[in-house]
Amino acid sequence: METQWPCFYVFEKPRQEAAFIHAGSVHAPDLELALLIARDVFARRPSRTAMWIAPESAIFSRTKEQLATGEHPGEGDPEEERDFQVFAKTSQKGVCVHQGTVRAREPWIALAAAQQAFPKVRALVWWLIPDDSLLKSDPDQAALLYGSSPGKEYRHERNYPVRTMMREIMARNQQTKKDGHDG
Amino acid sequence: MYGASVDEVGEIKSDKERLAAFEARIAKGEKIEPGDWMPDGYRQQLIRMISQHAHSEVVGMLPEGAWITRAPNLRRKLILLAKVQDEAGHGQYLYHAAETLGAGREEMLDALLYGKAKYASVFNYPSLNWADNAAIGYLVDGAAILNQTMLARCSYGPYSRAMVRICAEESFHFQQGKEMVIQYSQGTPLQRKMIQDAINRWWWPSMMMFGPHDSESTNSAVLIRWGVKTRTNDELRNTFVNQIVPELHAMGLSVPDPELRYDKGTGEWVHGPIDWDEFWRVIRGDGPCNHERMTARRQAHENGAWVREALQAYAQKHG
Repeated sequence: METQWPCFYVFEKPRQEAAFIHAGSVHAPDLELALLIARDVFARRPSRTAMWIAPESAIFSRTKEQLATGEHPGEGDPEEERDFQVFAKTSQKGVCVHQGTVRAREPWIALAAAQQAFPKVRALVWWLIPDDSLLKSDPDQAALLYGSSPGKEYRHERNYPVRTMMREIMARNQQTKKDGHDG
Repeated sequence: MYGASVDEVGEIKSDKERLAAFEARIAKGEKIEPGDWMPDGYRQQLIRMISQHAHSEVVGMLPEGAWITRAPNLRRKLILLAKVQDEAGHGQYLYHAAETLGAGREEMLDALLYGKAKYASVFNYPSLNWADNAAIGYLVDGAAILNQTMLARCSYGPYSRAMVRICAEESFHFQQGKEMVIQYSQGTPLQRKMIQDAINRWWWPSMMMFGPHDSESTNSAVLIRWGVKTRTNDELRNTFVNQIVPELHAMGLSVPDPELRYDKGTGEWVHGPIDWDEFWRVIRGDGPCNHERMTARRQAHENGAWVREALQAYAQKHG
């Protein structure tokens, strides 16, 4: 039995109006199971509205440095025109964020199209992912699988008034000390 | 992912030049990502740290997990269930982060289950009664958070992002433990005795969680240079002592360290000597519960084999 499963990149949409962001990666036997595993790993606690999964091998990546050193596109046979999802990382501490979609025959052309379509994006890294290589979560299942658990308030630190409890203890200790002196 | 490596597009660089460029990136506070060039030592140190950390989260479910069925009320039961489930999730974040460095899942699990890999020695101590869950949350998770908050700023992107997620959940673990310690300390004489006993037993194992003294810590210097750690073991341990000791005293509880003293000059609490013989004995497998913990883990792993096989068979059928 093959024990090390291939790697899949996980993208998550934190809120309805937010863009997809890179959450991390999982290893799984295939795309469908990667989506299930990604749900358990990345949306176990935080609520999400959607997830996308991409095989690592489908992601075309270029850094700012690689582009600056003047790498030229290879001469492959042009493929059928298809949609590419465009992701860019714009700060060192940030993650890759979804910018939009471009249509192209191959990743290199998609990259050029992305740079043109999103001229304000100062990308440190571009990722181009063919849309047909992605597995997207089912919108009908979103609330059930990725929604929040409003009944589980006890999982948040804000529900433990330890600061107030400590303050009360301190005040009581002060009072006892004072009473001791007075007596 | 297919990105051209810098070597393919620029001139071939020597290892020395690549190392200098790598260290310059770290000095600028840049995050290192999975496809980037990194020295072998960096990769190996991170695999060691992240996988040990993952093992600790997974083994860490055991001391408290045993108490789920014996929680004193429904609220505490829900809290403990959620906490233990969080620890499993933390293990998952971390194994996935280690995999981005080329570590194999089975290789890591085998290292844990068949005795080569280390995990936090603190989980080899028994939890004898409910008050132990309070002490674990307050002391063990309190110590863990200090380490994890530091690692959330570490130079390796996937590890730092896993830590950000973990810290958010871990602070719930700490607060629920602290709440219980406070409640015990303000309770009946018997309850105060129970929590003092638990603090006495968990204090030193928690102090050992920060690892050997800086003078004995072989990995620290390079980990700090490469931005994996930003504070030393002793610095973190001292922060812990100065945070916890005044709180315990305010609650009317004591710390089981006869040499603990307050240094008026520095305004800091200074702890007495740590029993490092005990630390190494427990790390090397001879603690009170090492055998029990590994037996439970091996059994869980073997009982789950059918799930892994079913996933593989399903993928083959539909692939």
